[in-house]
Amino acid sequence: MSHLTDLEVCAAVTERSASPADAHLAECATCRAEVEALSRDLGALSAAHARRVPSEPFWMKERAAVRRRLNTRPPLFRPSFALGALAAAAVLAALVTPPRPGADPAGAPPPRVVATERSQPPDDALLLEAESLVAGSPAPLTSPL
Amino acid sequence: MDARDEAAELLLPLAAPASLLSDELFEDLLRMHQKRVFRVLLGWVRDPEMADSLTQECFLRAYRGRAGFRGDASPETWLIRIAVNIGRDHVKSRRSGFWRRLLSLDRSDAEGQVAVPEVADRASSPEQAVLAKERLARVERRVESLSPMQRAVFQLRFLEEMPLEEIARTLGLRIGTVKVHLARAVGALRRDVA
Repeated sequence: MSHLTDLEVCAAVTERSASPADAHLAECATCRAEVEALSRDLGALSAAHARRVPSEPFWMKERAAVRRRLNTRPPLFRPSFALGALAAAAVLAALVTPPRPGADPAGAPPPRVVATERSQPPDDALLLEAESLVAGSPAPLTSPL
Repeated sequence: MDARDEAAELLLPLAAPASLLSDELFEDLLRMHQKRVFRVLLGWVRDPEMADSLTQECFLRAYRGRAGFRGDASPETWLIRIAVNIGRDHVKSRRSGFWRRLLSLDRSDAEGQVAVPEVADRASSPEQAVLAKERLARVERRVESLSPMQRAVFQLRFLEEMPLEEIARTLGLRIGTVKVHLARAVGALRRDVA
């Protein structure tokens, strides 16, 4: 009598419902012992695996750890990098901003304002008026005071 | 409505396009699936501390890659696929021994063997308990030596008790391929352990 193949043994240990190997297993003590031993091993393996799974507080801590790691920004977005990038952007903006109309692109000082009669201080006007009185010619009425 | 139906109903809003996978929904995703993701990763590393770290990594990857989630599969399938990839990559790097030596991450593994939990029940004798523990260690070592795909299929079937169709969807395989991987994995155990 030929014994079960790996595929048939696999079906016998995995399928909970009737397996095609059942008829053979009913007759063959060797295959039956093999399948029973394998089933025990797989059960022990599964139970050992289940025993290693931690209890509830562990899961809360793990969720918190995942959240913490998710909230950790990648290096490119750390505050120090952000400040550096801001400073660099400000310097760049200053360099590329076009000069205001009327400003000397060479950076020369603005031209001096030429003094006009209207811009003379009141003391000078009074002095001119006094000089004209002394000279006998009255100051014009339209002259600025 | 049983727990599975309830979970499926809760998943409906999450099966929406990526743009709808908001932070609030992601928080739900984390709460609902963290245990399963952890268990899948624990199957690969068998060290709860490392499985915790890899579970966090899985959710970070999922969050960053959520734009790629189009709702073709359920969020759970999507997450487990990420977890399997992480577990497989971790085992590959651990096999190379580099990370293990560099970071001493596998603290429970004093001589290259991860600690085996107690397996005997109260009725068994100390001798039987020792034998059962040794046998479990042999089974675990054999599972570790399977090819990555055989191991992924085996663990999803026997540790997560996932139906074959769900395993196929998760790993992007045809169901016939899943059956073949599973038969080879069981065959390897059958020959080496029995």
